[in-house]
Amino acid sequence: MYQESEIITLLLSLIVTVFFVIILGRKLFSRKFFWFSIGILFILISQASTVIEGYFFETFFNFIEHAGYVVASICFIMFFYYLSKA
Amino acid sequence: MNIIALVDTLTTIGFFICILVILRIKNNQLDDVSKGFYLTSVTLFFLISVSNILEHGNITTMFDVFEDYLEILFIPFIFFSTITYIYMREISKRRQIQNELIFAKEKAEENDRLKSRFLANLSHEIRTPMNSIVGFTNLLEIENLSKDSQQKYLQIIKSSSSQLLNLITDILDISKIEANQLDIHCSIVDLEKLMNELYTRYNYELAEYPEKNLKIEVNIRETTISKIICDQTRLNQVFSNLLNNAIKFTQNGKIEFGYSEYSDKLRFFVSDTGIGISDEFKKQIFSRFSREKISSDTLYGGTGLGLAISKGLVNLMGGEIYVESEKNAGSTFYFTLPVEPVK
Repeated sequence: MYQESEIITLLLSLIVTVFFVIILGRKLFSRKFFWFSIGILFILISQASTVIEGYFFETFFNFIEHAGYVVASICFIMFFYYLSKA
Repeated sequence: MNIIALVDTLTTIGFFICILVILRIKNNQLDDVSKGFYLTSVTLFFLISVSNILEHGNITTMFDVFEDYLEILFIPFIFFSTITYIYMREISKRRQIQNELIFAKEKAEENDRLKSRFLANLSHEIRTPMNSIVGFTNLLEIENLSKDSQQKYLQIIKSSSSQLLNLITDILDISKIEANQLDIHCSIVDLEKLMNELYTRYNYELAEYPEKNLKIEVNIRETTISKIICDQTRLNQVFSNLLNNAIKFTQNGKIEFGYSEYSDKLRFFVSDTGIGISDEFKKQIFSRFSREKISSDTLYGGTGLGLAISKGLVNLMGGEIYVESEKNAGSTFYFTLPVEPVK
């Protein structure tokens, strides 16, 4: 079953993401922020999977949730690495 | 279940590496404020991952209570960090541009001041010989002038004309150097012959200053090289500028010049026991139109172009020029030339 906190987290993350995408505009899609944006995307995928797993394909979406976080962590490593080299 | 635990462990390691990477970012690439925000964001997620791992081992910690809150906070916080980063970067870029503008403005003002001073000096330098030429030409028109007086006046006119010509040549040289229009014509130069010629010329010139107690010496140190390929006229000009300065600023003692081998180059030098150069002036001694003090201008003439021309010529020939000097203890000007010896 889904938890309320998971839905709140997803909704809040989506709202915040839309808000910041509007503020940052094209900068977020620039080469510099490529890995950052991908990382955020995977965090959102993971948070969505957390909610979806409460309805169907629990095992599959649970795996997607955790795998999404690993990919996100790798993306953030890449982002910070390139930031240090910039 | 085990795979999920493994994946969570990888996430934890991933975010831990993120923390390490952020800590290693240098201050000029990421300002302290943004670094602090990014660290906080990543640490938040690191704690979430640790909590997930502990959950697999059925270990309950205080993180479990906060996990949901931490997860809610992560995305807003990392976006906020990015906004801070972009904002701070804009500020530092603007500051950099501002500093560059201030520097350019100061440089332009300095150039303007130097040019004004140069024009003032120039008008004086031009007017003095011109007045002599005009004045003594008028005197020559006087009837019944003795032959001795005529000779004397002609000599003064000749000397003033050559002074004027030298000044114009200097101005043309510096203009050509600055416009990159000065060509270097290389040929085989017999250094020993050149040194001897310079010695003869300047030894003769010293005789024109009986009030100075000066002697001149040539010193060729530790080298077997006597012929090189370079532009003789320009090499001669650099030496002449340095030797003229040495004579101008030295009252007693000696002037020494020569060359020695210096790694794969030849290092030429002109040293004197003159008034020396202050540390402050050394920084701008090779700038055009620069002279040490306005008060000394009255004592020592010149337009302040000689050393700027010398530096330009040495650089054109692929060398470097520098000075070692102490106030009231003399100066030594060195210049190197990357030359191939002629065998």
